[in-house]
Amino acid sequence: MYVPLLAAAVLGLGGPRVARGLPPSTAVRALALAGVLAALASCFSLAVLAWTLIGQWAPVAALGHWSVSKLSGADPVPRSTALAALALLPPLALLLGRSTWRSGADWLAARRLCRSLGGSPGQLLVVDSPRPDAFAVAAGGGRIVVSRQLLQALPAPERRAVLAHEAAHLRHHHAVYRGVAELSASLNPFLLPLARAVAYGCERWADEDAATVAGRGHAARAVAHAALLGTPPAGAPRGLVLRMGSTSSVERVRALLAPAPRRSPPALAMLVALVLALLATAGEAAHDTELLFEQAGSRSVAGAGP
Amino acid sequence: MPAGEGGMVRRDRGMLENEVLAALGAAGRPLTPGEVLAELDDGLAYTTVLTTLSRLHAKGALSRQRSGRAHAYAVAADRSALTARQMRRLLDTGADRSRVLSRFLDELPIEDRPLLRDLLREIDGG
Repeated sequence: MYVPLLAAAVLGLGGPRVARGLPPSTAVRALALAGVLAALASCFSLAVLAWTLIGQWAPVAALGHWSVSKLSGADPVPRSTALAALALLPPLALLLGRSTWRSGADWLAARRLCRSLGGSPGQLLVVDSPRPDAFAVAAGGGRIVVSRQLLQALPAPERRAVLAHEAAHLRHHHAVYRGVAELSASLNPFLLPLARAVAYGCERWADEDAATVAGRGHAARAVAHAALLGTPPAGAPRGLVLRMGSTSSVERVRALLAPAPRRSPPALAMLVALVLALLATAGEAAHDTELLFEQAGSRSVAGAGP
Repeated sequence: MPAGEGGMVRRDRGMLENEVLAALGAAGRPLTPGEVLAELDDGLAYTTVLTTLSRLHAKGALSRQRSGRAHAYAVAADRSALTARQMRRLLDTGADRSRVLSRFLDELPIEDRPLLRDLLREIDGG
């Protein structure tokens, strides 16, 4: 019953490493899916552990028609562990709720912004902003916002690379992958590296698309120029995600200077194997629990005392 | 020296419109179709540029004025209406964690700047 938790941790920590050998588009899809499954499996595991304790509570046992004494006798889970699992569930629910709320608020704000900006889906909006910036807004049909300062600083081929990069974010719905990965990580902190890997993978995926349109060299130059144009962070970094992303410009440029990534059946197979193992452990846990309660229930005695 | 540029895929219409908008945004002054063509510098046909400019103008994304025999186009003023304040608000409200915004450049720490400059030199000089 503990194994799904372990498997989820392994997937969260090892998955990104394995995915590094994959082309970004594959990596993002695989990791996002793996993250969801790992989050669900680990929550399932916690619920199962907690349930072994809840099941020993007399009123519940009466409803379920199993014997409390039999259950507590056969229960392989120490009381303290089950209590810990039970205690973890409400905070996790809160974290998930908060993450969902934030995602929803972000999305609504972005939609409002798009509506006030006008333009058509996927259209570029030039902005008179003091800082050079470029981003894609994945709501309200999608918009690409680039500051005039950045446009003026880049030659036409590099502008093309930036536009192609942002258009790729919208076309492939990267916001969905990133959102899903972050929700998964809110359910299991071991999945935070996975969520970061998904975010970085989306940038690489968009970079590769930009390289197809504008050429690898121009795409690399665009990333480097844009990063150098940005002002250095004023004070303390604003959060974990920001810090991790701080070296991503360098990595992205290096990746664009190297040849385009190719498919890697072994890496994908390994990732698939990890996920299947995870699902298998969850299935095992479910099966074991079912057995446990069945055995406690055979020759059922409703509401038996200790 | 990294792999050469080109291998240009046929641009879709949305991408072309954005490139024209970007060229006009970069210029900071109204441009004639010929000037836009020169700025994009990409083997496009004059008629393609003209069509794109007309379409954007019809959408209200561009304003135009007479310039000799041709028109000169500029990004419509009310469209670049996103103020610095709005942008800052958007970027500051936890938007770095935002799934809905994907920024092209991230905050670069000072120690990474020489690294990037070296890489740029490598691209240009190789």
